[in-house]
Amino acid sequence: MFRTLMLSAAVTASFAGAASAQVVVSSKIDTEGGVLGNLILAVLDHAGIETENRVQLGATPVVRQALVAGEIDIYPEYTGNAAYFFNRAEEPIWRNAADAYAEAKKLDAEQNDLVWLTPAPANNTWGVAVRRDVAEPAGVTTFSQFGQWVAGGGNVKLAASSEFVNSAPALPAFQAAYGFTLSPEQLIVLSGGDTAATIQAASNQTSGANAAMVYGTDGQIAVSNLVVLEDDKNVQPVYQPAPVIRAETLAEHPQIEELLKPVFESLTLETLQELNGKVQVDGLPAADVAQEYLTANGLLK
Amino acid sequence: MRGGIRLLFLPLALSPLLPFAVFRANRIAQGEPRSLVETLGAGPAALAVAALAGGIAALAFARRPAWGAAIAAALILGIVLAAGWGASSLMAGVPTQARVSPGAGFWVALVAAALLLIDALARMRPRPALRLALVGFAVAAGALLLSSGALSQLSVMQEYRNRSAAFWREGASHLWLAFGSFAAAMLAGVPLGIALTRRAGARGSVLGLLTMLQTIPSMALFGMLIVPLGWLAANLPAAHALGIRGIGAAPAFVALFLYSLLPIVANTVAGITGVPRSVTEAADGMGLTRRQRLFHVDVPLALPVIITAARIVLVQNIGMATVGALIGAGGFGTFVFQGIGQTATDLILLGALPTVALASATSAVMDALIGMLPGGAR
Amino acid sequence: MIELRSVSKVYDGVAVVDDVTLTLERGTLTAVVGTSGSGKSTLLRMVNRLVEPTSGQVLIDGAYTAVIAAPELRRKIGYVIQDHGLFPHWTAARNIGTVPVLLGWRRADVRSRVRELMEMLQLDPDVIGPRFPHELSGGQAQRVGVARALAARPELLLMDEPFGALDPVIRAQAQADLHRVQRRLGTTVILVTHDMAEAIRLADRIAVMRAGRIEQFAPPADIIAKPATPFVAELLGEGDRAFRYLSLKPAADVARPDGAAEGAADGPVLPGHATMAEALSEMIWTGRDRVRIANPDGDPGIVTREALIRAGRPE
Repeated sequence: MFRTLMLSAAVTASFAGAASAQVVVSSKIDTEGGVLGNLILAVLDHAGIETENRVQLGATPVVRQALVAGEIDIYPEYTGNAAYFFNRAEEPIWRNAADAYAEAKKLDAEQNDLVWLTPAPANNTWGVAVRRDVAEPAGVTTFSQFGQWVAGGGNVKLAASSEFVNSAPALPAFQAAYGFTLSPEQLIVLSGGDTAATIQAASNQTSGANAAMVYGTDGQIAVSNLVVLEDDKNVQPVYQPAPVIRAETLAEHPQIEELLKPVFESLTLETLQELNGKVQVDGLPAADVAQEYLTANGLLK
Repeated sequence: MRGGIRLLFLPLALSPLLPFAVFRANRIAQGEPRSLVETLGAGPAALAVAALAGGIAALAFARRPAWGAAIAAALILGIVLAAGWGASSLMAGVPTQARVSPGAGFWVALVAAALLLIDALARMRPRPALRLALVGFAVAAGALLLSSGALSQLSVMQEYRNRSAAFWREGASHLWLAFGSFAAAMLAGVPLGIALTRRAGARGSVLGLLTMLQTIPSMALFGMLIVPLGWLAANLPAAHALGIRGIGAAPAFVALFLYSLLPIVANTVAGITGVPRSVTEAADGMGLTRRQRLFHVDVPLALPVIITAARIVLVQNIGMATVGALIGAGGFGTFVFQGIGQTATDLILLGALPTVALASATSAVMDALIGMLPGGAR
Repeated sequence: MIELRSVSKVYDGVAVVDDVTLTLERGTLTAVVGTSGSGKSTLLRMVNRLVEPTSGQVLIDGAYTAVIAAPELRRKIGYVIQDHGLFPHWTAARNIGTVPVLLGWRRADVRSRVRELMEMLQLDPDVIGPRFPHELSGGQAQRVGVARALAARPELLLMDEPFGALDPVIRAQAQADLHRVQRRLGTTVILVTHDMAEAIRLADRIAVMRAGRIEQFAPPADIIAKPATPFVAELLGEGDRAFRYLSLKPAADVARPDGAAEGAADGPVLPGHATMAEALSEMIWTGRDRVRIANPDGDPGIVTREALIRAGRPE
């Protein structure tokens, strides 16, 4: 009996070894998943690591489950999502970028043998973007400045979904933290509206809109001439994208950590907006966008 | 053309008043409507309206359904070609990010003409062989139109051009997913249904289990399959060698297979138990063995019911295979979900239109096949 | 020769067929008559083993049927049922050829056999042959069913209410066809029916069944003349026994040569095979007391009313 067990364990181990010869690179199906996944893929390929392309594999639960199960080896995830993976969404720790990253890294290392590599200095969280021609004259770049400006009679009209306007962690939390209140006349509620619709409304000044509910790295923001407000008091959980890799894979290819570090460090909010915009607005294939970015910035060494 | 169907002449006639095309500065910018005159230019627009009026008049006086069908088909071709030509003229001299897609006028005219065509075809009462030929003709005409380049400046075709290799790759995986899981379900479901006709005791519990499977939402079923299939792939080298994985095509294939089982098994049971008692009694009494009765009597007589299930399952699989994109199975759903992520309608259409076309063609072919079964069987 | 030896069939403790012993001679037509639920169909179905006897044996020409594989046994026995059971997805011709094909006959042989049978049953092979069952009339479908049962030249033909679904006019025709075909081929026939008149008209011997048992097994004339039990008498119908009896006997039996009659009868000459019942009916209807009947050996004979009435009461 013991012998059989040992044998099957050995077979499994040798087999697992054979299977992990290729690094399976994956990502979420959305636009940013396409960009980030192709960046990782291109860097590993260029470094001569054998890869299997499973980029834009599926929705978050699918990709996450696949990584935990060992079906894929690496994919980019957002720090804030760890709050949901470990069922700790209510805790304030996720609102601080460094703490959130450290906590996610610790939890996944302990429980799942996963390693969070260097994150991008960009926060793809729920927030507000203001038209550049409004924000610049008013000197508004952070939520604190926005709060003062609005409280002081600044002329704002925000396009948002009803969920953003009504759910406690969203607009009400911003208003409480930054000391401003938007009257019903200052709100354009697009019930069931997504960020594409709100950005379009602010961009086209539909019904006088000059601000929009956004996700920080939405590809439309740059072309629509909007500026994302910095959440300087950490009201929202931080969603920094970082590659998450299986510890076993990293042990086999330790160079991956240093290969990806400069790439993700280069991905600022504006850079991601621009790259996402090339895919989303111009309709370019994500693989081409990633390759071009890496080449242009000398990140393929 | 008779009766209520003539009401369709009204939207057809009024469609030139609606915007014929939509122009966007980039693929997700807000669309700006363009009238027929703005799209085609005054002269060609006048010609197009005259041709439309001529078509309507010809339809009104068409006595034979075949003539009506031919005129409606010509109208559809004209409407589509006008859209392609209009897109080229609107795209002339603007940045390449700009997009032109068909507008409300196009869709109203197209749908009205399509309904007129369907009505005329229905009144032709084509025999199954002719129906097959018509499907083949429509597919060939569509392929010719798309490959001719006449529509290349339409937004959907621009999306296609940016990912033509991916399109055919995903198309192949879509077909493999939908038809492969269908074939597997037929191979397993028909014998299972036959076995259930012989064990009435097990029938209720097996059909109950399959019904339960059917009620699981597709995403949930995909998710549920990742863990066991992943375990199989990691622990059984043979399973891994067969291409079984927790993500990708395998779970989608298995899920579609499971969804397909209920209609096939239930209809096999219904078809075989529906064979008249006098017929089975006669078959037994004449000395057919169990096998002979099964293959010469039971299954042939149950065939129309089984093929009806096959048609349901195929159309269902073609549609549902799109969801497989969410677990990396590929297929046209890849474009649909990437398009949703990018709020790019054209990309969504690049996935949705071939799926709909595939489902319609399959449905029409299966209908014709059912019609071709021996006359006495129905 | 078909022998049933102490055959019983028990379902859930109830004997549907209860210790039946019968011997049927080769080339005869035996009718099994009974009310519904009497076990007559079950008895029939035990002969071709569609029902396996609970106890007892069935022998055909001295061979135990239980040791022959059921399909093989059934291919040698024709089987006709009430709803004809034609295969709806096959043409009439293909239906008729079923058993010969199962037996591996050559195509040409099957085809010529199908033609032969269709012609014998007055079905035009070129018109009816290619039709599907749903395109046939009730009478045509019934005849196709009989042709199918006879296709492989079975020596034994089992018929379970074969005329039950037909309207009276077609039924009489179908019965006459069966009589003719059976005489011509010499097939042994077991016919299950609830219709005593049908049994009397067609059968050489009648087995009357009630509650799984044989009440009487005798030629029709004996059944009418001496019903063994009140049930048999009831099944016969008390009122028209004499007419039934007369309908069994040829009028020629009581005909006298023409010359012996006092004065020649006028009117039509009845055919030689006319029964006594037909002769009497003709007299009543035309108001005569004697009729002429054809005689193949010479001049027509004369049948008188007195002779018929005397003959109508068995001694």
